Amino acid sequence: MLPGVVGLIQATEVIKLILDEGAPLIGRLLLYDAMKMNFKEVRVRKDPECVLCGDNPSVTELIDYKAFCDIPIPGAEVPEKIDEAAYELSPQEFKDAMDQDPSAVLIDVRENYEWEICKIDGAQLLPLSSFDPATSGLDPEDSVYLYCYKGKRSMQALKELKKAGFKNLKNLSGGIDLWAEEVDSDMPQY
Amino acid sequence: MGVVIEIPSALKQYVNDQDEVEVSGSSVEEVFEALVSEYAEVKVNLFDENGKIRNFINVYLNDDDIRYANGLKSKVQDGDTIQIVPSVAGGCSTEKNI
Amino acid sequence: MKLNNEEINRYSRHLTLPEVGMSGQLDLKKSSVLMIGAGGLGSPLGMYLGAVGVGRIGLVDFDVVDHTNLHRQIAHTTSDEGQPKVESLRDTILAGNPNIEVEIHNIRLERDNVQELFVQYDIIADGSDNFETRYLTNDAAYFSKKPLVSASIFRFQGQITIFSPETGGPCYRCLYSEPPPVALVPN
Repeated sequence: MLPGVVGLIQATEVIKLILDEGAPLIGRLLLYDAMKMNFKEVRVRKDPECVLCGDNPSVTELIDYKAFCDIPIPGAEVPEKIDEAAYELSPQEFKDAMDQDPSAVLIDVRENYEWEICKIDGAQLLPLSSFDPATSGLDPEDSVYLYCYKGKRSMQALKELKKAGFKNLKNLSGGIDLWAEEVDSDMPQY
Repeated sequence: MGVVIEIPSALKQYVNDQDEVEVSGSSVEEVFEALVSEYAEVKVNLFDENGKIRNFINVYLNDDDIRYANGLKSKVQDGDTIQIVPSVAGGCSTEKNI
Repeated sequence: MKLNNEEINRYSRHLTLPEVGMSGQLDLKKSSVLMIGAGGLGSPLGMYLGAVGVGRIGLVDFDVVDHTNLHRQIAHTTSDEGQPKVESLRDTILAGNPNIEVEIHNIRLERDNVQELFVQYDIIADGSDNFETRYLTNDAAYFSKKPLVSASIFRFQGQITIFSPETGGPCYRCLYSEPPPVALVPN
């Protein structure tokens, strides 16, 4: 519902500009909160130091926007580079490996709302947002099988476990989404 | 009565899912110190390593940008509202799934 | 430029509003709007701009309609799955009002195609879903001196404003000088 409301306000402003009627939303940022169901307005000023439209612009032509938007967090830990492919298993390989591994522990690092949609039998939920190997209750001797929705978040968790001394780690390549396609056709996709 | 800080949905998870937090202080800086002392996790999302408000976050004191007042030193009083507004880019209302 | 009898009848409730009237309706018919994004925001935006009689609407998007889009991107219906979003949205807009032109650009907006597109339209409306496109759109709108009507959403909150530096207003970079670091991006 939210995009409907916001898109209609956008349409209204376009039409007002064309008709040159009313007070256009220039210099004002309208904030809409669907949960509180309120609108707020804050002032937006032209910044004299703006690199594009300010007094001494440094952006005088189009730039490399991919590079401009690729900002790392300064001071943040750079994740360890590992050979990710060595830990990836296709859904069928992942299932076969678990079936043959008596010490297998299956960890789902998605968030709770995703867990409620579907999950792999036998999995334990440890959301990445609060994932900490030290308090996970996992034993570095365990064989830990990890999955998420598409396989990226579980790789992040895998790297943290590796750093914490875990040795037997596997990641479900393509996540539960690909699992639903290739292993469990009854599982819903979202 | 103190100063109400309105928390955007992108940062709610760091303040116990609240959409506003009431704290006291006499400047925006003091109010934010009170906020991060209570909710440490929100700090890295609000401030850069030099203690400056991050470039993609705007802070409005009673509907005007503090950049055009005295920045973090801007004075506040009880009953004021501080709105934190981060840059968002979505064209649809869901998070990208990874 | 004139309205034909069907258009006069169609827009009659506009023609009797003093703020619009015949001259306003002709202004709408003469105008052109380029929409960036044919998804959640683009659906209602395009449907309304078309219905009220904006003469020429350009649509930019390179995505196809996915099943998970349907619950909010209301211009696309179940039978549109797999179709380019610009085609699906164009068809919906024209079904509502066949008097207008809808031009589709089934491309990713890039540095080397943006300016030739922007010069063809009077107003740019940004409903894109990423920071790269938003900064690109802002800068290109500034260089081509077009007003930029910008809307963005995250979860249950939306932000709407008009960037119009050519008339003394701020631009997107005045509001947010940089995008969030990648790891902090709320997509």
